[in-house]
Amino acid sequence: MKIEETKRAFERIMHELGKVIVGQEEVLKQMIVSLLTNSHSILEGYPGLAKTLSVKTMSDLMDLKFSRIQNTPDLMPSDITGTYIIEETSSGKRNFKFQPGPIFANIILADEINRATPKTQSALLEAMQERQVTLGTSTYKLEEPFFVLATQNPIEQEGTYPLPEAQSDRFLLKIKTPYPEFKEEVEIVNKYAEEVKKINLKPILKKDNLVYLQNITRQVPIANDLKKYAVQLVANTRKKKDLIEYGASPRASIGLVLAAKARALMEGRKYVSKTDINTMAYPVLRHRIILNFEAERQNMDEDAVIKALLK
Amino acid sequence: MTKPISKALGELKRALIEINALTWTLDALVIFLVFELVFFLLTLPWYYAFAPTAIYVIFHIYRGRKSLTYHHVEEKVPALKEQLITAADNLDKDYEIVEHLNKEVLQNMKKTMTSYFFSFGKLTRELFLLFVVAFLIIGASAYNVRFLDTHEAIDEIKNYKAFKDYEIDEVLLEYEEGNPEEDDIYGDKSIAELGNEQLMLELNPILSDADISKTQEPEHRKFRSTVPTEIMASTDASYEESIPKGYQKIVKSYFREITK
Repeated sequence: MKIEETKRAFERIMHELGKVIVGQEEVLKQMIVSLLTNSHSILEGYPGLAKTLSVKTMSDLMDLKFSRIQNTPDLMPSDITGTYIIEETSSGKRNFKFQPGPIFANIILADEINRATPKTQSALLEAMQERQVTLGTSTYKLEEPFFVLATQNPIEQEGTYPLPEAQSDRFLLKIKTPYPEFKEEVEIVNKYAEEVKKINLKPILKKDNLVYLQNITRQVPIANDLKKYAVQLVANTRKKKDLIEYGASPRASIGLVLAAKARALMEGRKYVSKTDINTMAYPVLRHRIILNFEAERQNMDEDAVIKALLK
Repeated sequence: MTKPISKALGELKRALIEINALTWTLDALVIFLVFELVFFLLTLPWYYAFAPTAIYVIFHIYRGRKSLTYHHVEEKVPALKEQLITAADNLDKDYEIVEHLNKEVLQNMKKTMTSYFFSFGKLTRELFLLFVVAFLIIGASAYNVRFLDTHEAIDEIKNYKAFKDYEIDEVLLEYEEGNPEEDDIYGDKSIAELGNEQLMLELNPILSDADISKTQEPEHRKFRSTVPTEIMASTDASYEESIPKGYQKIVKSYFREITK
């Protein structure tokens, strides 16, 4: 794959995704950004907004192994990582054999991550961070590319274990899934409420291509002024005490620049623009800032505060 | 080996400096000639025009530094927006994507023309102004047109009576207040100062009882000489009164000697 082909490849991915997913263009773009930066994302949205379908379709288009973990309070860490099972050979000999869990895939959808217990969450997050699973004395490397997309439901918070700030910081982006527009919803109804046609999707990116694009993403040049702008933006979240109680860490600065680079590459540009930083500031920062009472009193959410920061 | 992009950026910088130098020179020339004309009309030395020109040039260079940056180029050439600075900031990187960016920047730079950095409207206006001011200077010199002789005006202002009133002339003050001791000895100083000069007196008919319409030629009158043949001096009690006791004897003996 060549650099000149990248834009066309992304356009084709978006086109193919559009065959299955109606609307949600920005959500899909941010998911690709997450893939390109070799990072993980949280997808927040109400049920029925095609979160799972988006991830599944994405894995199909990229010829990647997909697995889904449905988080529940009784889910055990070994249910995610895998465990040793006793296997009997033809000679009758019994051996312990490692049975990999659903985490051994390229794209993992961790559905409703806040329903799992902190112990299970930690196991998942550790695997995300280290990109390896340790069981007893053995360590198993996870295959690259490795991308976890966790979903969270903003309603029905009873009986959930919200991710602590330190853990949610490990996700590069928090992608918000909005409700579709009226026209889009009519199109969804037309598409899925009538005769179900099987949509054939062709894989557009192979594993090698994705790894190549991940490398290229990091090499996208950025002007020094824009780098400073991104860092200043993150630093301002720590200074704006009138609305923000806790600001974002330097990890957010790295993430913001990286996400901006990925967006630039997707747009077919060979340089980062200020628009990339401004656009990516929302998904990069919204789960990394904790608002204070004053912001709540003013009925401001994270996005409104980020918008104020961008001004 | 120097990268083509480094060379191109160097050339761009040089071109920017040259264009700005030309613009600043033209601006400075306009300022100089305008002030030159003004100073000529005010009869001031022509080289005074260097001062406002120098101030303008310093101010312009200070403010015009921005126009020597890549930001300025990006503003003028939208095709290079954000690309040029990025390429300039990443000259040390040899990544494939950076090379592609450099190629793109070079292609866009080839399309960039020097005219993008010139404001032809401003240039035309300045040239027209230069032409007009130059002709005005020539015309004013040929016909010796002066609005004001500044040196004379300054002198006039300096000698203006209203200003003089505020100056305390010690001699005049002493003269006006008078010195009784000197008056006794030299007489009325105003008469002494008048000398042979003619004294002009103007009578305001409103404020005066004199009827100017009835004025006549002065009559020649013959005065009889009544000058005493002998002048005698005698002592007077008032002298004794005003002269301190210690000196009274001396004064008395002095007058006695005179009368002899």
